[in-house]
Amino acid sequence: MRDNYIYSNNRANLFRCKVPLSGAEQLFVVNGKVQDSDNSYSLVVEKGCTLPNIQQVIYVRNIDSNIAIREIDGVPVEDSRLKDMLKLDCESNILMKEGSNAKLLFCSHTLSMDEFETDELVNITLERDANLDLIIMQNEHNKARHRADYKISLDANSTLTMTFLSLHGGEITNNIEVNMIGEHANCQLKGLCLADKEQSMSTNVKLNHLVPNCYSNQLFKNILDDSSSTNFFGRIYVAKDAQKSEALQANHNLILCDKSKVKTKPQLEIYADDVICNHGATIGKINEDELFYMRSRGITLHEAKILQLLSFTSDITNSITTDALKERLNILVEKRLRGEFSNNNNCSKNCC
Amino acid sequence: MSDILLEVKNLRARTEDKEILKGINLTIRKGEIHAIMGPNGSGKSTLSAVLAGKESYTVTDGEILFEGKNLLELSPEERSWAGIFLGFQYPIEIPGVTNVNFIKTAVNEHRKMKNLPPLSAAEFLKLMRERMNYVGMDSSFSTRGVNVGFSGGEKKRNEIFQMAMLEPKLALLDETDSGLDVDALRIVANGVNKLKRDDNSFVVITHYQRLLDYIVPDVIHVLYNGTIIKSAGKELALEIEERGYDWIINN
Repeated sequence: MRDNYIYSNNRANLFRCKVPLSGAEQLFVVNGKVQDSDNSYSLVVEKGCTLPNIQQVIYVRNIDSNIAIREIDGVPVEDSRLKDMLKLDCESNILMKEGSNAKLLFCSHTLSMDEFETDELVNITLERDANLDLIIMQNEHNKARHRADYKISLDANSTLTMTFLSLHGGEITNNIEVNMIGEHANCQLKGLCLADKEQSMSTNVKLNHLVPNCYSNQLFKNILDDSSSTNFFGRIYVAKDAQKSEALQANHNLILCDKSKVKTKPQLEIYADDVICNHGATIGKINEDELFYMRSRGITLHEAKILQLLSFTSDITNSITTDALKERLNILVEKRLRGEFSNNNNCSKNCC
Repeated sequence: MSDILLEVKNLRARTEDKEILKGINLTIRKGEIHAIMGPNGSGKSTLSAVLAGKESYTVTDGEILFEGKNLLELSPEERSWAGIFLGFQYPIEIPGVTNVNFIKTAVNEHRKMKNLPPLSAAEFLKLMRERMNYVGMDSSFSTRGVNVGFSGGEKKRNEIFQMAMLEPKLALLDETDSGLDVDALRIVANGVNKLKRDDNSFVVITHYQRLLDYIVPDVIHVLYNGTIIKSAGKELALEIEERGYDWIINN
């Protein structure tokens, strides 16, 4: 497993990641398999251990053009294996043993322009007193469909901080199920979807407070342009005995175009009687008063809109705890908002 | 008349619902300070917003000439580049955008229009420190979100700081004194006085005579129901303080 962390020069020719930080370990997972192996991604951080560096796991979907198109008697023919390669079921596992600590960055990309369908299962288990900081960055092309199911279990006094940055992708669905099974577990979920063209991005959360004294906080924000759509379905469930639970949830949507569609459904299902829970959702447009304020200082309309979008995204991106990473991801978000992603067909050219 | 900075002729403006400015005439020369007073709802803030180019108002008649140019053809940012500044009565909060980035963006847009290169980081920092001093702003303000968590007084100081950075030819200060205690009022007024030169002008909208103790106007106008019903020297403010507006309105 250890060997897989070595940065592959061979792969770097194909894909150069701009995000890695000094000291960060990089690992490529190509079409569901850890590079040059037959294994899916699996991380176990042993009891009391702390990963010294941020580990970056780069999930790549790619089809070798030699396989995609073959020539038979000089006529290009689609390879029969192609269909199987387009559809992928894969699994990743993270086990944080008692008192362990780790920071992870998952990136997912599509390198070739094929119509990928990816179904991904990610199991995340935090034992007692474990801490995991996980950032999930998704940047795929417009023909890609990616569905990810995160099954999360949090034991006593564990803390999970999870930040989703869905920058680009034809259809992205993140299903997040959190089971808080030990007291004083802490779960922070944040997410930002930036959707334009015909893109569709969905976030479905089931946050289950199964024992007393746990804390959860969800903040999901979406910016929509063109004919894009986003869905937010968020349910907080507080079991009968889960007294002193504190659960907060907010979903805010900013629509830039009348053709964009937002669906949001925050839900509370509470069976305990001594809890603090709230939820809320907003859908709004660019604020004209803010724009006028900025323009009256000589900031152009275009720039004023960008500033307002950056302002909207700031409480997601600024919560990233590693400064260098925060800065780089902020730059990516800004590039995306400035429309710089759309100019290239292959997302690997302009992303991380 | 090259010393005329702003000329407003028979300006009429409305929102969707109703007409607010009903024929404003106003001439401001370089180096002058004008105060605009008047009861609530008379159109003072609307006048300053229309001068700055707020698009939610429709100008239905009249003209605005700024250094002889037709201002009504210009967008808010173009008016800013031309040298107009509006100090807001209620400054807007922009979380996540730091004060320093905000004002740097604004300053560099102004420089771009003058075909000047952006200021270097060191030059910018030096200028910013100097101008923050004008209004006694602590340097910690620069890394905070624009107006986020600022007290009323801090927001108004930030407006004057932004004005000091942009060095406008014409500053419109919309109730900059409202919500300020005496000390904050003095700080804000000192900031204005530091920026006062022979070739720039100020329009100060206020309800209170006390601001005009610190910023001494050349002319005071009383705006009522969308028109200027009286213009006089600085003594008028004292009289209004004592007698209110009724005697002017009823005349």
